[in-house]
Amino acid sequence: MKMLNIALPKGRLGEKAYGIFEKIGCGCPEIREDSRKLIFENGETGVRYFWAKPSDVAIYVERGAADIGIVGKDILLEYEPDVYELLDLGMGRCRMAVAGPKGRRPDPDRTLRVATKFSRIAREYYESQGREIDIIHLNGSIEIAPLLDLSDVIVDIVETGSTLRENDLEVYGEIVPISARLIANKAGYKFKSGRIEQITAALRAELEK
Amino acid sequence: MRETENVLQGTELLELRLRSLYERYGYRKYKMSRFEEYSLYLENRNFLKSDRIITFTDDRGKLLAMKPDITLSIVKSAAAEGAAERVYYSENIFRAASGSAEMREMRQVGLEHIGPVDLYAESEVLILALESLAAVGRDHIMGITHLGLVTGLLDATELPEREKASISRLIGQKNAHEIAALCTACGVSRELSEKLCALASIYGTFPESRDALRSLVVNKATESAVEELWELYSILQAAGYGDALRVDFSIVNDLSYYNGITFQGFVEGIPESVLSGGRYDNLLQRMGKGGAALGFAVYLDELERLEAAESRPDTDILFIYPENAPAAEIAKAVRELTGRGRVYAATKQPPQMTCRELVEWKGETEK
Repeated sequence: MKMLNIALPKGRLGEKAYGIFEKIGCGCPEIREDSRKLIFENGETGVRYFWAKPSDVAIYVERGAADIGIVGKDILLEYEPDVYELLDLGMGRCRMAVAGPKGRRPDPDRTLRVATKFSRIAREYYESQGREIDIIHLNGSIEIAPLLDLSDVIVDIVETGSTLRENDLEVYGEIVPISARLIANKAGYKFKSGRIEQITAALRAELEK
Repeated sequence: MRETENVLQGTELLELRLRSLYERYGYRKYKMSRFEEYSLYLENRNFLKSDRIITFTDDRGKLLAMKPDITLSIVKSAAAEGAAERVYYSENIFRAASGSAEMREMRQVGLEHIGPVDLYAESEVLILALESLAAVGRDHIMGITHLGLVTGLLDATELPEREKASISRLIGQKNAHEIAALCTACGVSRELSEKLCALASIYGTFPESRDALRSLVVNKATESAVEELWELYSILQAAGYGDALRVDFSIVNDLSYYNGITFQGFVEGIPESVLSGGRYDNLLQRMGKGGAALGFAVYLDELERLEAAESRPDTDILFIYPENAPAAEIAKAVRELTGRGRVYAATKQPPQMTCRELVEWKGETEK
């Protein structure tokens, strides 16, 4: 049997997603052990897992190093990888939102300075509104930008909103809801469609329980 | 032929096989210039996979482009009315590689069947596409769809173009959950929404998909599309190609250029499609020509990845001669050895060079 390669995002979401794979009988006991191994195989069920940086999962799948993977919708919207999106796992729910200093609204007469990790999402959102913006691409701690007057607003993922509140920021508007998705490589799907469909159906059934 | 196969490797050899295959079916080679007027691509932006094009100005100030596509040039040069061209090409094109911004030169072999297209002509092109995939020598699969079914269902929703384009993009991702959400948000009937989700999810051999396909019929357009798919399947099945075919609606091409059957080929071990083609009557019309056309292209650069896996030694015979040996005698010895394969002559073994056979020449003629 050919191995089915599965890419999981490092972190809480990936671990939670793996839990579901385990429940549907696609587990790999090794993965729970504390080790420095990078790739985990279960010869009996024919699955092979590996952990990747969340934004890289889409690349591994698009390029065929993984047949399927779990990735946030934010990554799919930002990088637009050429992959199948087979299932909404409904976990890791949050939203892509515009936020800024509490009680203030940016002057509509000036170019809006937007700090974000998600340049494409921000650009497309403001293009649809016909608003001229200046994108400031940051790689982390986006919340600081408006506090130091680097930007007027930020476009970022908001989960509970506590980071925003603690820094006197608030959500101005929601762009799109986000959750984890099951994606598949288009060519891999062609040759392993039976198993991928079987796993998709089992995951769907498990999530609906 | 053996001699040719000794020199030509991987994709070069495949290119030769494909050309001879197309010649046998009456297609003629079409040789074209490397450049084309930029305006052709500007007018047909959406036909291209990527809108990044290398341009330059010629000595008379005309803006030219390095060809990112061959089909457009062939269609452009085809006669306006009653054109009947059966051509194949093997050319280099210049476009951004998928998933990257870098421009690349890529080798493409393909064929175009312009002119009257009947059921036989369609099956002929499909057979040639399947034979092209088989020529790679690996497990292969060809997904096939009929855009008439996709447009028929989309038209039935009576949604504005923007929403239809979104649904069509979601079908390409097999993203049934978002199609359902979008349909609910736009007030599309439950029945149609379910059909669209089913369309996105269908994947399987023709016998497996029989019932699912039948259930998608909502109007005349969708009915004739399903019929055409089945007719083609029975022809291909009878010719022994049925097993490699899959019904797959996730192949979506721009509907303003393509119509009718559309297909994509995959080869085991390559994470992207290596062949893509379909019916493009709409393109002909847009370029002011009547009639019908279909064709496909094989992406040889994708197939190059297979070569790396199948390595052969750097040379067949490594010929080592003493430094003071007379050159004339070495020349004679080497010439004799070339009859047995590739020879690399040197005074000592180059580091890391692999060979099938090592011949050390001592200076006296071997008799």
